[in-house]
Amino acid sequence: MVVSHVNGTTAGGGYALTASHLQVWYGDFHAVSDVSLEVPTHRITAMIGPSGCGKSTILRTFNRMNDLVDTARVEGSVHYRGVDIYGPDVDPVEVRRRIGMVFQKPNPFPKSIFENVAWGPRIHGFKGDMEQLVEACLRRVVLWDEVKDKLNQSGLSLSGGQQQRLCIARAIAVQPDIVLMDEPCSALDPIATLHIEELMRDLAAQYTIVVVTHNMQQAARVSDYTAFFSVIPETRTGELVEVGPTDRIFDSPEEPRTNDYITGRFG
Amino acid sequence: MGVFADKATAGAAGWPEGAEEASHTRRRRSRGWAWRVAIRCSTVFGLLVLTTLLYNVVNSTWGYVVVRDQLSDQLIVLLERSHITHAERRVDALKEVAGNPNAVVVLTPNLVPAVPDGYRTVPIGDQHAKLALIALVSEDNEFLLELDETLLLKLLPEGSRWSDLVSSWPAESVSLVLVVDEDGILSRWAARQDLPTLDSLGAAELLSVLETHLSAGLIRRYGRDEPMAERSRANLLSLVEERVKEPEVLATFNLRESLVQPAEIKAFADVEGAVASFHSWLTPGFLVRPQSANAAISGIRTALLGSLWVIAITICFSVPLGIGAAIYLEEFSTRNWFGRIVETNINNLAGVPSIIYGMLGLVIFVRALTQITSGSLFGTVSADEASGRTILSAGLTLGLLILPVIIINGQEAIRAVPDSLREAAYGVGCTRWQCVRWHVLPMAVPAILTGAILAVSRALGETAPLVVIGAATFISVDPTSPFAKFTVLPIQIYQWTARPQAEFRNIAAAAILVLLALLLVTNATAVLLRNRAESQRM
Ligand SMILES: Nc1ncnc2c1ncn2[C@@H]1O[C@H](COP(=O)(O)OP(=O)(O)O)[C@@H](O)[C@H]1O
Ligand SMILES: [Mg+2]
Repeated sequence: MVVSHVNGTTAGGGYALTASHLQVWYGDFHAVSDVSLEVPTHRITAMIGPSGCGKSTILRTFNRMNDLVDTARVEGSVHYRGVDIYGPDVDPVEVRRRIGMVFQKPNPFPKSIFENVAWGPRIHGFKGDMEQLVEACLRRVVLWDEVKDKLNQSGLSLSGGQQQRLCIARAIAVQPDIVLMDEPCSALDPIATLHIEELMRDLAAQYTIVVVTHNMQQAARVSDYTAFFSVIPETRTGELVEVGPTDRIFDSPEEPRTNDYITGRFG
Repeated sequence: MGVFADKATAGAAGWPEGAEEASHTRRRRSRGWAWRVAIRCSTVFGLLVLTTLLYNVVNSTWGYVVVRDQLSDQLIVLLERSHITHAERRVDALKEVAGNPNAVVVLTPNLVPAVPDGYRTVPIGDQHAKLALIALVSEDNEFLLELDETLLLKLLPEGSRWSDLVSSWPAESVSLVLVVDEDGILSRWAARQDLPTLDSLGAAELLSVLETHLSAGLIRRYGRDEPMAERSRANLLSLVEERVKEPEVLATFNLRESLVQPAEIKAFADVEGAVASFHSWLTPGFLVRPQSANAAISGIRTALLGSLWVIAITICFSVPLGIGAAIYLEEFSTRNWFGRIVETNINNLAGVPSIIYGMLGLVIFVRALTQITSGSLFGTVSADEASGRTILSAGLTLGLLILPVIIINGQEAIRAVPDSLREAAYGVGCTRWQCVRWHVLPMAVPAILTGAILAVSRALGETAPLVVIGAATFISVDPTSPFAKFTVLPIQIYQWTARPQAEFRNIAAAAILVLLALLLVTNATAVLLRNRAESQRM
């Protein structure tokens, strides 16, 4: 079942992120070539494609996470609110505050549940009512009722699905515009996956979400837009094949490679 | 034959089947068994070696020792307390004795010619070479011929009767006891004493004891180390024990001999006119007494203090520096050719023999930085007597020695922190330092500490580099600043084991136990710190 949340071809609030001619190298290895992509505001954009085609790599360029990889080199630009986040005056710390991230494997801090959420706001100098903020974030990810009596327990004591929701609460606690999610459900059981998907739909009203998934049903279920990546067999370099509203990508892909992939004839 | 008739691989080529499978399984099992036995053997072997080592040390640390004091505690006190220099009183006293047949005069041999009529001499403590005493007793009191040092000492309380000493003696009261000192000057009446021991003497009295019994030259020599008047009572006491009491160890027996043949040991002591007592070479006194040329009263105070000082400086120098370098190399520097050269170098440095570090320390800290390491730059000592062979140089040298190990361990610990944690932290927009401070370090600290403490333990036991930079061979004064001369436990142990006298091997063993205990304490502290750090993270 493909649910369409998109009313037209244009997204209501314009574009949250505009990537143009992105290229990424790991050392000498050309991992992704020439990706130009627009991420619509307050929509869920899914990135799908075979394993190793550079989805995570591209996602990580969106908040300069690749800076942490010594060998990684990025060319091209990613514009956020009219500023190229790879520009000379931009501090990646400020980028990451506005463009948060949720990872494939739930990775709460080995600290209390409360601290997990509170740490981000605190390092960014939040001076308001921390308890209220933590509660609001935990409510937002529908975790509050489950953890309100054990806020001082370790975040690692929660189940996988709860941990992932805690990580989402942690990401939204610093009030980002955009939340990047790298296969957020791949380590979870189907029920937990469902919870996270519902949560993503819910969060989309307030945040722009970019989600990488290897699960096409998931992309079809939750996303408004879909970007299909593929890999050039000879060089193993990833490239963007096609991007558009999810309905269109799944119903009538323009590229034959997309069609092969979503009908299961490839990858 | 395999147990299962049916097999999933039945018929497939290349798989062992039936009896072949069974024997293959058996072979795999026996190979595992052989390895298990080998590993167990090596563990048992290690335990055996350790036990032998401990046995040896413990065996030498406790046991009978046969000791003869040159002068007993009581006699020293007696001589001290009764010392009077008035020549006239000597005459009075002798007069009084002359009219009193029950009197006893205790003299030193050079006064014997003054024996009055009707008196005879009784040698007391004839085994005492130096200060032999002779009692002068009346010819009318035959029983007094049995008087010996022990009895004489019992005689001291005023108003006691002869019969208090030996029941068969007359119940007449002892009229007087005189003690005369070596110079022939009459001492005063030996007033009653409550079983005096050296402990009952104050600093001033101890000083006077020393002045009485030691040559002026020796006193001057001690005074140069530290003015006599400024020395602590404990220090003076140990000097008296060493120089005046002069316990001479005739023989020492190890724990095994002491347990197996105590009777023989006692008999030997009786023959020698000495006292055999079960002795623990490891006593609280051993910890607090300074070094001495006499094993029986030597302690490890200076070496222990030296070790603590040196290790404190080593820790202050190398632990922060090492952990800092590890953090920098792992979290901040980018991996390029320069970083690789640095890392290779550090790894190689960790394998350099420690004596090389001693030579490095000698060149850098002792020679080149004399101004700093001797303290003359800070005005603590005058420039001309400055020498860089100080605690500071030793601590810094050992610091250099363990720095690479701490760095490598630190890097290892930091590398073990999963990247997912760093990503989580950077994901909410923290800076590198915040990530290190709040996530990487708390996670890595237990392992960092373990590595650092292991390295520090190694430094505690290091000897060679300190010998090279010039540890002092004999120090009787406590080190009180980083600019003091030093010796450390392992060097002390090394020096003692090199002595020919058997009793030095006993105190070396005791010192080894102290060193082991110190290492144990260090390691226990590390475990505690680690457990605390571990329980703090969730
Ligand atoms: N840190 C890295 N260093 C070197 N190569 C990397 C690194 N991360 C990813 N790659 C390579 O980049 C390519 C794309 O990886 P990735 O973005 O993780 O793919 P995906 O997420 O689509 O499976 C892969 O060939 C992978 O081996
Ligand atoms: Mg990926």
